[in-house]
Amino acid sequence: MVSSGSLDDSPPLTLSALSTSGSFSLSSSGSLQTRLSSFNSEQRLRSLPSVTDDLEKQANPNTDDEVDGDDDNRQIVVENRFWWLVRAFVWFSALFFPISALGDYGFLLRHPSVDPFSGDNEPGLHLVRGIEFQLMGWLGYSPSLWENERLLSKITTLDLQPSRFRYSIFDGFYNSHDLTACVWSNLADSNSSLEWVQEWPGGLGAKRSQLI
Amino acid sequence: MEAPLNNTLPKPRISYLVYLKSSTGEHPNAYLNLARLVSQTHHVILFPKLLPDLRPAITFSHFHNATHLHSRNTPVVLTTNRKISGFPFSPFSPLMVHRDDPTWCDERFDFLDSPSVAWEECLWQFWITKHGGLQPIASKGPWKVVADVNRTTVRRALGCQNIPF
Repeated sequence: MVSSGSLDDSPPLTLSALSTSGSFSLSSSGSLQTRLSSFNSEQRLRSLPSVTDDLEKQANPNTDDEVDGDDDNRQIVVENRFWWLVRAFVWFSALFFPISALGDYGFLLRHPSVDPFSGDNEPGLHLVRGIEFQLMGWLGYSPSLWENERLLSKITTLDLQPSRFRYSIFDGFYNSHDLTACVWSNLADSNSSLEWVQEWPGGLGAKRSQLI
Repeated sequence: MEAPLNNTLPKPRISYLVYLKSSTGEHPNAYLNLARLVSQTHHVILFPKLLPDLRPAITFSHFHNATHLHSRNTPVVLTTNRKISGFPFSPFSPLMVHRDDPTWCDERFDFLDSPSVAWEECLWQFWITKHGGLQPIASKGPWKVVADVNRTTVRRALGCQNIPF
């Protein structure tokens, strides 16, 4: 009867006290009740803490309130340090990762010829590639050397070394309504195929030749 | 092997040149896929072999007219005459596909080192995937070309002589 009456009178005070000093452990719930009663509703709660204190002292006769408080304080200090480290790490990585990723994004924007497979109309792809670049850099790869080979390994079954697969862009002007000719020819026909490519009226002549 | 000089190619043109050592073997379909991948235009014409009878300007006009007539999902194949309306097409028939078409040339017969068989497999792949929806256009002047390996040889090599494909 007494406890229910006290809770009806002052529930918000109880909640706020719990939240501000929220490091009390369960074993010291008796002391919490005592402090609450002494701060807020001293007279009404007096009977209840005394009962719980007695019960707790009967169960654990060796425990002392002061020793419990010291342990709690040490625990609070250690936990505070730990959480501050976690917060600092989170803030640092939250700042560092976008900056480094966007740095590569800017690099790709300045040098679009680094990646021949990215479409011009997909800026999001640039960002993803930038992050991939950065991750590969952290893993110890040199992006400029390995990026082409890694992409090529995804799209073709051929083992194309970077030195073997070289694309040469002779001119960058084209109309998207033009037609691209992809030609496979042997080196024996290279002269005729070069003439053929020169006569091709479309925007882009792509020629494959085999070196014998 | 050096790439040709810039002045050997006309100015308004981009050209990718890939020189391969002979040790890599012939993988025409794989390289045609690769060429299609790096192309910049919406429509790509795959030439498995340069046919001397097919002049570039005439071939270009054939395919260029076809881009206005047909939808982007329909590949256009150039055949020797009007009688050919379905598979098998003429050997080394050039094929125009949309660059972003989900179908790509099959490379499973590249080990035979026969460009005509590999290209026939590619045409067959498109023919199957599009449910026969390839649009054949006939060139005005027929070209003469001989396939280096006929299909019977391939069937014998695969040990499936009685299975039509």
